[in-house]
Amino acid sequence: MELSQFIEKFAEQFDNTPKSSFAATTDFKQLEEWDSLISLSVISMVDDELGKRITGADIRSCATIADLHKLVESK
Amino acid sequence: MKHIFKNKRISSIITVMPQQEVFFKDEMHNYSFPESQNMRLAKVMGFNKKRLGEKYDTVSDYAVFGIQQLLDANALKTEEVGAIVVVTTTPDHLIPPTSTIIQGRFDFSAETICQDISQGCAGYIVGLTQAFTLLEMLDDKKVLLVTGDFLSQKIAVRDRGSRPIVGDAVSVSIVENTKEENNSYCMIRNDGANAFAVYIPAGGTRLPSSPETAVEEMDVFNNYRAKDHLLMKGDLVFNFIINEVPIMMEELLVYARLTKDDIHYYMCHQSSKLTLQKLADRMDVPREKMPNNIIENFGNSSSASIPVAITYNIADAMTSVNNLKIMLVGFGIGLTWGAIILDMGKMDYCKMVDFAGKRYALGE
Repeated sequence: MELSQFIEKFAEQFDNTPKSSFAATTDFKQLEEWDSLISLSVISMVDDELGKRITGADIRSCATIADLHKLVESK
Repeated sequence: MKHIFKNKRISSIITVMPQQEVFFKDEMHNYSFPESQNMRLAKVMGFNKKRLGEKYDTVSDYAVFGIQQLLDANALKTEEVGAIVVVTTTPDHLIPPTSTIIQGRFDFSAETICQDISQGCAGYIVGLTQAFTLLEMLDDKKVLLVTGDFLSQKIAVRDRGSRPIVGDAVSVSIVENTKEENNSYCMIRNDGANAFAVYIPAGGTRLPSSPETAVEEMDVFNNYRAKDHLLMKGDLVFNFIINEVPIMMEELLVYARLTKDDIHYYMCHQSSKLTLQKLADRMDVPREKMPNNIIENFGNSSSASIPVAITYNIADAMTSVNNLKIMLVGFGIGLTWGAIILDMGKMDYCKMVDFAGKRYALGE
């Protein structure tokens, strides 16, 4: 999956954060809406869209959305 | 393991519910999250109301009340009982087994087999498989299968990861040999390498409970819990459920030489609305064939959740219709996951009741 598409899918997991807040360099864990439910939604999205399994620890090890995209692609 | 048991049936199920009803919206001030985030969580996971036991409620008191209802309704005779199998993670005491306490409350024979099994969300599958195994040597005697937990006592009030999900309940099933020819197809798998995906750190011999283990600390998601409390790594459990469980369900269908459409109902452990919807979608099973409404009405009652789902959703069909093909599916601590395809119906008794029995004193 291309990075731009991944950012879009990532942003879809949020309800109240504007789409303009999401970019490759976004430090997503600092977003006000970020919580364990969204973390779970991201895990589910990666599983549904890419058929890959990531963990909460994987997500926490990433600083930016681009980092997470790279990690997912390496799985 | 996988095995085909011959000529077994569940003749009755009673679920005994605590009377106390607790609402998510009344508890959410305990969680350090904005209201909008809490409400979104409630919507996705299906949190609304749940049943919780009182502080000193026990599996044996609830089971005794349930068994008495079955005796009063003539669904069971005292002399028919050949075994009592209790599946719980919250026994009355560490010593003795809860099954012997229950035996002692009735005039059950000294020959009665009494066994406790430590299992949680796959507990109904593990317990039913054990009941079938015991029936191979019990002829016309019956097994009382007690499954249930008061897990709410082991959950931190400020833990948004586990507190909203958990409810309490106890169920009693009568399991017996039948002259009708049928097959029950069972599969159980374990992944002990992930044993600590859900666990209670303190309270056993590895780390006995002490004032230190009662101290609540904050985790990375601002939840507070102590080492005496249940710790669930939700991401690992979620991955496990949506990946391993569908594989087993598919393999069990092949083992039983049945198709998805042959199954009338998929009665699954009630983990959360989210996981059950995902499971139905992954299995390509209509959501109405796989009820997911127990979390929002009663909470997740661990080893009792499958009987709760049966008595709440399909009790009429269970007592009136014969030979419905049912798949029971459980998954959770262990990690353990299991499924059984069996014929169900024409039960003598299938009901949910509120607990109105005696609470015995310590040592009584």
